[in-house]
Amino acid sequence: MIEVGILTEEQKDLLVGQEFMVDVYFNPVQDINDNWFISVEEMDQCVNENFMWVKDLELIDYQPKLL
Amino acid sequence: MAARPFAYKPFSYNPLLTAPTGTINIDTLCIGVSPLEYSANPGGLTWWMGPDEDNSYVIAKDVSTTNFPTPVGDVGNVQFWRSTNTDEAFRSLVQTISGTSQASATAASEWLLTNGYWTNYDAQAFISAAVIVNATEKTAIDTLVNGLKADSLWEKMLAIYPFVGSSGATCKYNLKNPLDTDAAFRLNFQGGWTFSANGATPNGTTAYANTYFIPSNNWFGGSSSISAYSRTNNVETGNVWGTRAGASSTLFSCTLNSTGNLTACYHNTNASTSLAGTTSAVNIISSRISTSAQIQGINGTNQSNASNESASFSSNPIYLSAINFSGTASSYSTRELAFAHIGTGLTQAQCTSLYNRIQTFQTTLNRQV
Repeated sequence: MIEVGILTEEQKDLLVGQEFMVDVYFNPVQDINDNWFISVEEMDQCVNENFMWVKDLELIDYQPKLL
Repeated sequence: MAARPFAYKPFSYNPLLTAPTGTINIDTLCIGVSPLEYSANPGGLTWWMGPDEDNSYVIAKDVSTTNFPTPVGDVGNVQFWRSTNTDEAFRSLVQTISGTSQASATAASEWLLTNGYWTNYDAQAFISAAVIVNATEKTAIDTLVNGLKADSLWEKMLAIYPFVGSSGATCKYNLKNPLDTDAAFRLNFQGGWTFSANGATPNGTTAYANTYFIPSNNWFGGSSSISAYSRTNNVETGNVWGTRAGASSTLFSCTLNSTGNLTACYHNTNASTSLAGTTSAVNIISSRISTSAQIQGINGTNQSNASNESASFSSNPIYLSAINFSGTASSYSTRELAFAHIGTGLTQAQCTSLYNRIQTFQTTLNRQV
């Protein structure tokens, strides 16, 4: 099962449009339960000192939103 | 000592138009792109070594009268020019050669190609912008550009993404116009990507790349093409590329080896003929040279299908590794990308030629599938 880092609405707003490494940007997405999350790749690869807190996000199982 | 992969190249006038193995022709100018014994006159041609290309933009043109002044007499069959490696110096040099005003370095390069000249400007400009330092990657880029020009494909390309350099900062650049701007169709990587010498891998949950290429702004009916080189073999419903704006008739997307091992490219339409295949580790291409038919191909084997193109195209930018569904990314892919292009329409023969050049590029980088 794929895990992702769950975000609050406020945390999501902080991350949108921000770089987590050079030329790669956070992309918060909603899951099937409308939880905002980022991927573990974004958490692990983040080198932006303003957002190092993403490394401590709680992990949940990824449940994609149905189209 | 570090390798100098293409510090010099040999050139010759080749009125026969058939390029000897290991060389390419641009009109009647033959360029040596492989390490041959050029002093032995391969192809029956007399070869002349070009100027040092390091930190320089070089231009070459064949001299059909074979009497260009050289240190050994008026016997030269190629003339060379060289500028420092700045856009302004290159543009100025081409203005002198052409006797015409050139609006930009890119326009100057296009003038040279149209008029049978060779230049290293395009490859070097990309390598400089992306700060590519690996000698093999430099050689692969140089050979790719020369090959596309030799096949008259370069002018069909609007964006080329070679995915080299192993980072977002290098993979983002468009080889056709390596400026760090949205207008130059530089990629904008969103979400979880992993970069390596093999390309760029999206995570299938949050990752996509915005090309900033808007079909309704940049394409006309009956002339468009796109391709992607996937190194991942799996079955999934994620889109390799995609955009749609409202009406389903604006759909422009590709699902590769989806459920039932079917590949479907929707090319400005809501109908598609699926291709069968049992792997997604392929080069997939979709092209239109008419509004009533679509060419689809996998690994250079192409077929033309009846397919009516919508009168209106998507007004949303094309995303790679997801579909831009009315402004929101969805149907994320996990396929590692090692090449992609967006261009004007290609014939079946041109699709095959493009695949061959792409595969040579991947083989040079030891990442072919």
